[in-house]
Amino acid sequence: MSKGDEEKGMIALKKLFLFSVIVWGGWQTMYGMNLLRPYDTLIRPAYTNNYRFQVDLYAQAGVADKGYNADGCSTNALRIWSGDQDALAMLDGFPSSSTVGQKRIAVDANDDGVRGHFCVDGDLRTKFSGAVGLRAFFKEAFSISAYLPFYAMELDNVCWSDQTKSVSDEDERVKSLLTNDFFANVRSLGDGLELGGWKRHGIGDITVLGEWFHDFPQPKELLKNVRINLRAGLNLPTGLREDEDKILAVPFGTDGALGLPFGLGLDLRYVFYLRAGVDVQLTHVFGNTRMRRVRTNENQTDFLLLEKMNVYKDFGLTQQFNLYVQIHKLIKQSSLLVGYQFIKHGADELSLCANPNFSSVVANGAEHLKEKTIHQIVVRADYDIGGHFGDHPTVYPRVSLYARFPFKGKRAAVTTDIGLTLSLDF
Amino acid sequence: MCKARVVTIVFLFLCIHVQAADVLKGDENAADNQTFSFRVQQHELSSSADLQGTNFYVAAHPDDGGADVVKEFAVSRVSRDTKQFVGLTTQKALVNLSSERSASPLYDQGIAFFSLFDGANNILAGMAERPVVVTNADRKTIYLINNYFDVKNDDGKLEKTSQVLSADAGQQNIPDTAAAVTAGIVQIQAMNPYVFAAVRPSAGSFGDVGSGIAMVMVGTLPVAGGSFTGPVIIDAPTGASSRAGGNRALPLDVALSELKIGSNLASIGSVVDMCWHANVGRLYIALQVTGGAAGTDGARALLVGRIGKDADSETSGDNKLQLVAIAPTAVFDGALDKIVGAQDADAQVSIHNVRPMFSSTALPYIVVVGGVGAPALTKRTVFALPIVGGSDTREIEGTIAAKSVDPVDLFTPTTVPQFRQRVIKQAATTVAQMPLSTEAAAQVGGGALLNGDIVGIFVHEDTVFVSVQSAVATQTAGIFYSQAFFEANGKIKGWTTWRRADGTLNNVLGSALDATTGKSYFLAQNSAGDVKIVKRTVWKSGATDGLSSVVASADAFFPKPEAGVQGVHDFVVTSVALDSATPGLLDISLLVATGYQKVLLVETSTVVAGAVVPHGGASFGPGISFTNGEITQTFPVTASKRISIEGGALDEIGPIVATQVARDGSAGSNGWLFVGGSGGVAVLSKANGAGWNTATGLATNFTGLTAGMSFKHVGDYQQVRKLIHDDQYLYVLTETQLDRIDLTQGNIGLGIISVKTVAGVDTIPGVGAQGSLLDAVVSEKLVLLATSQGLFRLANSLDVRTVDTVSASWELLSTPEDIGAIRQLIAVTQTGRAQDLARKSGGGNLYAMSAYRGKNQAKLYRFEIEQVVGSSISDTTVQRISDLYVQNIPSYFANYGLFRNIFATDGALFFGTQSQSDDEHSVATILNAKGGVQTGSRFLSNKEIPVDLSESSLLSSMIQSSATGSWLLAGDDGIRANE
Repeated sequence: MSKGDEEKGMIALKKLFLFSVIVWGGWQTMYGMNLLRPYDTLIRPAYTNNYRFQVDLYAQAGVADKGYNADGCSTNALRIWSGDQDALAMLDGFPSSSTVGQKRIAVDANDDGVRGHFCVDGDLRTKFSGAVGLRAFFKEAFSISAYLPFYAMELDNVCWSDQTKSVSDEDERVKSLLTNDFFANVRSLGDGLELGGWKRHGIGDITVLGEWFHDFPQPKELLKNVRINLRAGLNLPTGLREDEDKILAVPFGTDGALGLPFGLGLDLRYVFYLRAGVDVQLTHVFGNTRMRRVRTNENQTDFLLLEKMNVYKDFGLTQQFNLYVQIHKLIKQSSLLVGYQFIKHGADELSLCANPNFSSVVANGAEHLKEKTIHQIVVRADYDIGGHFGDHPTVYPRVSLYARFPFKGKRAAVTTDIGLTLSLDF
Repeated sequence: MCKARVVTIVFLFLCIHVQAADVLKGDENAADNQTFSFRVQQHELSSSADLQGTNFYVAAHPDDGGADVVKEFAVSRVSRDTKQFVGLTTQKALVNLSSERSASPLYDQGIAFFSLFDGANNILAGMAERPVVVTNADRKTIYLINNYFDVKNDDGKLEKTSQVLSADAGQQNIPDTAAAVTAGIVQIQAMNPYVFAAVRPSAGSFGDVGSGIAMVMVGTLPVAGGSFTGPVIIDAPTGASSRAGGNRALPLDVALSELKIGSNLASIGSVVDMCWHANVGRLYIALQVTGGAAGTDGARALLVGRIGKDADSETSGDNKLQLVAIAPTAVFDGALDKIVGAQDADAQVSIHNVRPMFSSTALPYIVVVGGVGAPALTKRTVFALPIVGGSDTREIEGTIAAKSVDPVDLFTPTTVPQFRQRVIKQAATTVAQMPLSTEAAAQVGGGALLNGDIVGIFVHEDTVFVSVQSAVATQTAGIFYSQAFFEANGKIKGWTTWRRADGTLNNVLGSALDATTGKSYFLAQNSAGDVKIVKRTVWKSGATDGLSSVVASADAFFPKPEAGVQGVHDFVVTSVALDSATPGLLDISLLVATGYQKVLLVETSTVVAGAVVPHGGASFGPGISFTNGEITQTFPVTASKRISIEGGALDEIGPIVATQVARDGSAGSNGWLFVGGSGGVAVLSKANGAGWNTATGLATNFTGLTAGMSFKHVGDYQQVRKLIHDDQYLYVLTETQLDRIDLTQGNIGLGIISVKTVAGVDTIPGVGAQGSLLDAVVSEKLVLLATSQGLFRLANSLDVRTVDTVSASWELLSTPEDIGAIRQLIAVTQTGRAQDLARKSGGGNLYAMSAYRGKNQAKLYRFEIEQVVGSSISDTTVQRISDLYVQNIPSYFANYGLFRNIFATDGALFFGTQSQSDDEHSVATILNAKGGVQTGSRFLSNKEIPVDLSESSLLSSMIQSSATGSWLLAGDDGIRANE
């Protein structure tokens, strides 16, 4: 690279920084959902170092939602943490003289397996996801990029179905004092906890990534090139936070925490247009303290956590593994990629900041804090429009159409998505 | 319309399959439904700390040995987990020093005396507990069955063999006071490392000069060619292991100054009983004595044995035995009411049995059967006597304590002084300090047992159990119990009247209670009058000669899909002598089971010729059912003791949990049955609102119920928790208020009521609108309210019969270290009726369970309740019994450590139940602690009762049937009875 190129690169870097400050771009999502991850190597646009910059635009829509529970079985998204919600356990763990404690005493009923239990159904939709990304290349093997996602989600058709029978004194008491006017009781006892649906939209966390990549041409009969890429970056907590007063109102990011993603990829190019690769990305999120709902009894279910307090959350490590094969430009400028993705988020841990009434051990048994996994297939079709513009056009556009098909998971609410990306290299 | 229901057929079918108390298996020659082919007599349950209740031992009747019938079952035992007795007296045994098996001296013997030796920490290796026996054929020798194990027989196969050691390895027989061989042992008592034997002189009867107490101690004796480690005879007067001229027994004869008052005794009977009281470290010897002929003469029938030196400065005498008078002669003044002694010409004092008691308030007592009088006339009275503990004067330790002296608490000498024991340090030295046979505190059972002579007795915690083998005319035999209740300082204040236990009407020679399982063992008579049957109660569906048909009725009538049995209520007629009948019932006791829109009435006993006769088996007759909440036939129609009613107004009540029999005042002519539940209250009444005629009903065979009576809705209640009838009032406890309905006003039978609200959650300070009322006890002026914010009583000088929410004020009772809510109240009263808690002269006790699901906790508190009849409620009406763990820190009585939804107790067992929780099915447990559950017991555990609750998700009631003494555990999976 010439000195002039270096200067241009530095200028570009500065521009990128400024851009990042003004328009944060990046990715972070709630764990346990397969939301759009713009720098996911399976969907992000192809890149070369033939241009200084690349601008990416993402648009994605969910077409089918489902969930996977702790056993890996397919279920409604509102049952990923437990098959039902326990209104009696909801009242446990509080001091007896508290409002909740007094309610527990008045209700005075045991859990017979159905009493006070609600089957909950609903539609959790990621109606639209989008992102904008900017990537700058310099010194042939380096790039720096920033991504800003945004999401529109909705929970509707929420249905709480009371399983309590009407044959015992306990049943009648539970109904009369608790479940007949359940939403109001929960709102009152749970400091504003709403059990109905919601609509939320907003930006996600900005991610800034620095990346090194290098091609190692292979003088072999089949394998022609090996590209290695290394990347590291920063998730900035700009995303919409979790709304602890709504069920499943997950954060559009790391819930106000700072994250450190780093990854390693290996791309292999073979003869006959064939490519394959593997990519690993790990994300460490620094813990933070904020108002959260915590479990006060070991039998409590995750939608019915009445206690809200300031707690420190130590996030588990997020691991993402990608495998893919691609037929690269077999027909003119068209490529087709089929990939498999596995995401695993380790258990989060809460520390109850010296609250003598409740136990950290109990709080940390909550299902939503436990490990989550997602398995999905990604199919992507690329078309290099820029290939029609000559050898080295000023602007090199690409367009991709992709679909993600989650097929397995644990404690995850997932969406089958169809997305479109447009990139411009210039 | 009245109709015989298919249900009846169903339960009769079920009856075929229900099991009574298990008849345990003994020898193979036993007849069907009998345990042994020979009679048994002596028996004992494991009582050592580590084996409590593990094994039950029986011994062959003294006269049944030697006929090749008893064989290895001369002494046998059955363990908790099996039904088969194992004979411990094998034909061949390792006897004394021999290493080869030889003929056992115990094989096929009748056993005259039996005692269990706790082998823990003994120098002699052997079983953890070892039977000590005297055979009828050889009453001069004490044998110790030291071990029971497998050895190879002549064929090389493993065979059970016992190791039998006789005192002094058989080289010397048990001596009298002159070191001559006794003419016969009359009783033994083992206490590691000793065995005490009451012995006759070498010639003559027990009581003659030469009689005494011989001592055997497990030790080492030099013998030819080595040494013998085993039971060795020691010189009782000195404690020396050997004495020139031979070891002796300690004199106990008619001249003994600790027995006689004035002149020598005229005689001492040969029936002797002994026990060891571990809490005071004293031996008690019960005698049947006759004093001298002069009016100033007299006799004492109880002796205290003390082992050891008189003072620490002495250099010898560690094992010497001394006999101490149970009380000084000065306390006997000629009145024949001192129980253990009397001063009168030819005074007879007969103590048939003596047993140790260590109350749950941690005070030591002795319990005796007998009293002043001839042996034949004193077999139905039982007395509890306080004894001195923790005294600085060794001589008075274990003697009768001064009844008026307050106990003091003893603590460990540690940085944090922990409660150890409660003691009375002063002995009774004057007449005024002596417990009297006329005092409620001493009268176990509140007086003589009406059913017959007591032939067996044991004490567990606060409860005395006795058995009757031969009932007097009109009465029935069985097992009976009486529970102590206490003053706030821990002293016994009174006793409940005798009540039936264990659900048996058998003729019972003796019984024992396994406090870990709640099961009882008892020795029952067969049809020929021979005690050949050993039974063990079982938590199942009731005995065929007990409540099995009632259980079957309830199980069929209250199906599980409708949450089964949601309440069981007992309306007593405990004793005809005590005015204990339930107002509205005429000489019957009634069991009422309730469920979803249904009620089942069962007459469980009836008074016949002044005797309470419980029903059992076929005597319950066929069940009769009514629908539409209406009775369509006038009773009696058959001999049926069971009526089921459903439909009609009961449908509006929904789940029925509360019920009450009531009468419109003590002279009222109407009796009603009320039921309550989620949907309110209903009353069973005639079309014009009248109840049954109390002059003739409700009597046996439901006499008083007439065609046209039906349930009718009363008031506008919701979430009714409890119904209470006292005086002319019906009290209705709901979640939020306590109402008083005057049954003499309006027309309650038509739902026209005169009601006053006594308490509301808003009117009790600290409870508030968020709080709830959970339980209540009403007794004359007094009302106690269990709430979500603690236990309250009506304030001083007020009267629950007249107050309303404006005039009532409330006192919060102290429940230190509590959980906040008081969930359940259990009244311990003389009559068994909670309404008598503050009515009877002795008052009673109140157990309060503080329990909270939200923190999975439950604790017990208890209170002394004074009588309020004729006086006003005052500061002393309700006083917390002084339970504590650490000095100066008041606390609870016991902690379950887990939530319990129901607490129940008979004073011997402290039950707790928990309905299904999450995935755990219902459980019923008993509080357990080594050494018993007492004030300051730190290491309590919950022992799960062996009752099948695997299909149960709700336990709604646990009560003891006052008629049969059966414990009943009710829930959605029906009723389990311990019979």
